[in-house]
Amino acid sequence: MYVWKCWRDSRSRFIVFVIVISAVCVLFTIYAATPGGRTGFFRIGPASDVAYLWSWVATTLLQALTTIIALFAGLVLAPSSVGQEYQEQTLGFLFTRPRSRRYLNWTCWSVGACEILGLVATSVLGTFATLICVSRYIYSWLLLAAILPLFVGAAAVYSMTYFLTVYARSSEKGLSYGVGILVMSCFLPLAQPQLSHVLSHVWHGHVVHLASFLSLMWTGCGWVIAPAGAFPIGALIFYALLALAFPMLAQLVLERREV
Amino acid sequence: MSDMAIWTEKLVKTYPDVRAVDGLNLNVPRGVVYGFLGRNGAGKSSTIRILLGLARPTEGHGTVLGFPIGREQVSILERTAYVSESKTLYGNLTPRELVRFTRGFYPKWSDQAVRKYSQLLEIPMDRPFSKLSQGNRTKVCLLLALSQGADLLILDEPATGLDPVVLDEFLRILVQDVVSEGKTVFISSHQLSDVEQIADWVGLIDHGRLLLEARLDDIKGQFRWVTAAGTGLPAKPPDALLVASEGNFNKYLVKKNADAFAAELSRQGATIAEVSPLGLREIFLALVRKEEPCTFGNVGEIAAAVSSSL
Repeated sequence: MYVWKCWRDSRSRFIVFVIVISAVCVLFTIYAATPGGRTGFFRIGPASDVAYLWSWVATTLLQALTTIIALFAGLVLAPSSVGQEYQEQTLGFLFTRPRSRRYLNWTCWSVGACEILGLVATSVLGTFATLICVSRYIYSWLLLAAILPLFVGAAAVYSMTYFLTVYARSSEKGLSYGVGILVMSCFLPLAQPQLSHVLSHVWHGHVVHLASFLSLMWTGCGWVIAPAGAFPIGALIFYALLALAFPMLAQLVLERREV
Repeated sequence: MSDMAIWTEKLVKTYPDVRAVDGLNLNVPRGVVYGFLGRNGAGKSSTIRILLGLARPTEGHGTVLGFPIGREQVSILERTAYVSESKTLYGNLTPRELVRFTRGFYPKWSDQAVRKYSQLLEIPMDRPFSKLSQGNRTKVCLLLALSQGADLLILDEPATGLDPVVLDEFLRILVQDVVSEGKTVFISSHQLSDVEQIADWVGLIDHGRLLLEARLDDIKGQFRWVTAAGTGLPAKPPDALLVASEGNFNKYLVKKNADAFAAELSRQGATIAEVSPLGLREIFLALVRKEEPCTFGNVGEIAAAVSSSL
């Protein structure tokens, strides 16, 4: 039914992402652990230092590469949603199937969210398994907890783009709006001091700290290997709520919109 | 109301620039083929979109198969098959995949019907929908509609792109396989000859208003043009649906008892030139054509007059 249709539409992109992200994680972990890999850009400490290897993989590989790929996947998977039905003018056909628009909206969103989870889980599990193979030691099971911040961050990006494609009635427009907002959310924290200065002239109350999707994922990934500070639970909850709020908004839009 | 497949009362749909549906009162009995006729932009598709929940009525209300429009839409859609005017389905899916997709939505889905109609209509089942001709796209839409086991088929311009052989086959299927099982077919079209072949009832719509709703047999058997000449001819006799002036002649469209009507005119001094039967096409043109002014002014009165007399 609709689950199958959504999966069919996005599966090629999903499979490509799984292959790419798994290959990146496995190959870079092997590269980091081999003597030849200690030269060049990815210079690390002695390969025999298991703790250093695990730490490097968690902070560099999962933080940087996986985060970027997961965000990218979040952006790219979202447009194959109800917004695409608008663009292809098949919404009339879909909405005359005997299911509520709420069901169709959440089904479509859930398929994408599951794919994001699968993608993130594959990358983290792949990295974890490779690390065990190359180091023959399990340094920290907590590495698996990186799935959580990576998934929540990517899901928030996915949900935002999903909503934007529905709102804009177009996959391309939704994607471009999503990219724009994501880029802006990355740069806004940089402009925080200037913005605060400007705001201080007109607003004397509390100013919310602007955090990006990236910061959640980076902090989360860093914590799993060196859980010294506090786990970013507040940010995690915030982005989880955000990830759920966008499909709710999409539902409101769809239920009120005429075809 | 519940004995009607479709019932609407004072249905209105306005868009910023147009009043697409204007106080529509539809009464579609169950188990009949109902031809919903009108010119392009008359309000046919807007009406259908309201019935299916794709658009909300600005005013008015109605039921489909006894379920109120807008409130129990899923119940309506479970029992209703719809072929849209655009015939747009997922371009990357083959008809076989479209069948697979659609099957899961309908408990009464018939794979036997899929096999039967795909062979009868000669549908290429393994070619992507986007690569099919317009006629084959129409056939796929009809296949999906016919296989749902629906109680009501709403077909918006179903003959688009069909060759005469397939069209004939399709009309035969509608009569023999669908209506014979007590199901209702609601065909929106401006192809009068196709509708005339199979329709039991017709509704004529123009500018969002229902001009006429009547049994086709009544139209063919009783509706007459009475052409009269003379002075002091009545401008708006109560028994005439329409009065059209042509030179010295007045043409009266009479819904029944045309001979009695002609006799009454004769008694008033008129000369009766002709009492002639008329087909669906003629009555459609007479009611809709703008160059033949409708002397009643408010055409909605015609529908009311017909409905009350039947």
